Amino acid sequence: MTKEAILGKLKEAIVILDEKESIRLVREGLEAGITPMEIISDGMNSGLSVIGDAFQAGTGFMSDLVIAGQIMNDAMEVLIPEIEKGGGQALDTMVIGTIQGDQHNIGKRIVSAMFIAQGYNVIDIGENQPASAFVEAIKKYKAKVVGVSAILSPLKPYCKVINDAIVDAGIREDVIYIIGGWTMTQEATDEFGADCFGEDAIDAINKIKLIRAGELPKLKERLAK
Amino acid sequence: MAKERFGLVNGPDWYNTPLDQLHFEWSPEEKLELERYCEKIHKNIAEDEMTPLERYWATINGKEKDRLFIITRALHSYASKTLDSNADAIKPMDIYNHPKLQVKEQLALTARFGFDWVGPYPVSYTEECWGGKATLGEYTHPQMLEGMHPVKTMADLEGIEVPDPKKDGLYPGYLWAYYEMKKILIEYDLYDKIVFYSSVSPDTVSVAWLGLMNMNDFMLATQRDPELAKGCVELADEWFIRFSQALKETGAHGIWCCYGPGIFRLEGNEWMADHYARTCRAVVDTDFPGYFGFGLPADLLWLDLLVEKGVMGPGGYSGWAASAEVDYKKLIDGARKYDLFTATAALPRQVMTGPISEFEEDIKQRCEYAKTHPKAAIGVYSIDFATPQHHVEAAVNACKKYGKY
Repeated sequence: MTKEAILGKLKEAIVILDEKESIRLVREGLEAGITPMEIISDGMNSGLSVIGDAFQAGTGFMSDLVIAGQIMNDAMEVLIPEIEKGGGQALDTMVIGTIQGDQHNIGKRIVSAMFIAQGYNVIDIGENQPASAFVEAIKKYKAKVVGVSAILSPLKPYCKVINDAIVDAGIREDVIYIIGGWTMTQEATDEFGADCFGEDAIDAINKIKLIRAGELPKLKERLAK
Repeated sequence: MAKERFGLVNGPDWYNTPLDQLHFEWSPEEKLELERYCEKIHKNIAEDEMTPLERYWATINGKEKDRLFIITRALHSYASKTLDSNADAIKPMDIYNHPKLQVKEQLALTARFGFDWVGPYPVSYTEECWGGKATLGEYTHPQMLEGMHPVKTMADLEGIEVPDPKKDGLYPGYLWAYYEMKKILIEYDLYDKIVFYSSVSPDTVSVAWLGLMNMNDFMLATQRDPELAKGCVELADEWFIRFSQALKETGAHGIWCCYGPGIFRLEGNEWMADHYARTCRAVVDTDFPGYFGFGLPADLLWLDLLVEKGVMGPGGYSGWAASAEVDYKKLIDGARKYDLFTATAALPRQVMTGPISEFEEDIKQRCEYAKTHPKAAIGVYSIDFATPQHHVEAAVNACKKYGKY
């Protein structure tokens, strides 16, 4: 099959949540000489975008995103060694977790899936995590982005504790800090020291892209204005 | 023995005590408190032409009424604030562990905001009741500890006992609160005036992935091992029917269930509708109606199948209410098509942040459309912890004002 045909079929396989076929096509793509990044962006991301857009439009389902995310994770286990072997540019890492006292994880899983599809290596440190766990993970994985999920409103102020811990560790300049959760606001985001908040997974991705492209200021720059 | 089966960190001393052995006494001061809440509820009711109960039945049956019935839902994280002057001193954990506080909280809430009903939200989603171990956080339901869901394979389904809400976990306390509320409402001549509503949340499929398997494993199982997913839901069905029946016996005027078929794609998961039908039809009747509350736009895609299977409509639940994020016109048009009860609600984030004029306008638009369907209601629910009390008051008042016929 041609490169376009393989990537097209991979996109279809992701959309219909065919796990086996998706992984088979990832391997076939590598054998055909398609680069891992092309497989991620033109095959996997294309498929996940269809699912994500449908979910946003109310015509698609949450479990599709979660299952697609699992397919992404499985595919990345095949692709990451190839990226490292080829001496290619390592994927940027995102560390994501839910704050201490909170066990919610659905939104976090959706965001993780979407960021994997964007070519990130996503490290999910789990739920009910203290600030120290976020700091440790950022350092260990040299994360470029740290995402914090805070669904329970009374616990949202812990996002500031996390920010302060990242600052105290001397690594705040190295990461983009994004928070998310039901009824999160810009005012709360500024108060907690985060660079931005994601209204949903698509919004989170867009804001991170804009910050990395210099088109949206990080918090420090916003406050300096 | 239940105590050996279930574990809950930070649970109450009476945990797993059967309902018929639970006794909590009211002090004279607490009795005065309850009396005053009831007096205030009477005053609120007197401001309208109809009683809330008359309005509720008129809505369920599609009859004339003075205004739209208002559905409200304040989780215990918000409801508890009515007891401590918004100090964030009393936590939801205290409400779950102390059923008397739940009674006071619910009556205080309805008294404060002029709600059309008294109706607590469940204290658990059964996480700790199937053999796993859970912890109660200050603001959370029992939440399963990592890796502690009891089901990962078909073999794990063997020997799992379905919990009994009259004996197991926090549920006896939850039921005690219902029986006590009914007693109080009768004593103060409110039982035939205010709506006394019960919640059996969550739905049977959600119980399967909250309490039996974890969400990720269950979702994958619907694809990779549907028989495993179905096995979990069959157990959950039994729980749902037992819990619904136990709530019906308390004397509540109806039942509602927080519900989410829209989490799952319709294709390949149609079997879930059979379980919804079985569990919903088991308990409701014309004197004890029920409805679902859902939050995802994709739930609307399930409407035709749910009606076809009898989940909603004659013999089943009366209809469903949606969160504000769901297109209210599509929601109400769908309910009209099948002659179902329905409700739309104010946007929680907007009610939280204001300005008041903005959410008043939104409520006005929703009310206008809701009034085109005689079985539609309006709602103020999913009230965020940070919502100022005067915003909740303004939202309820807007529902009353713009909901008038």
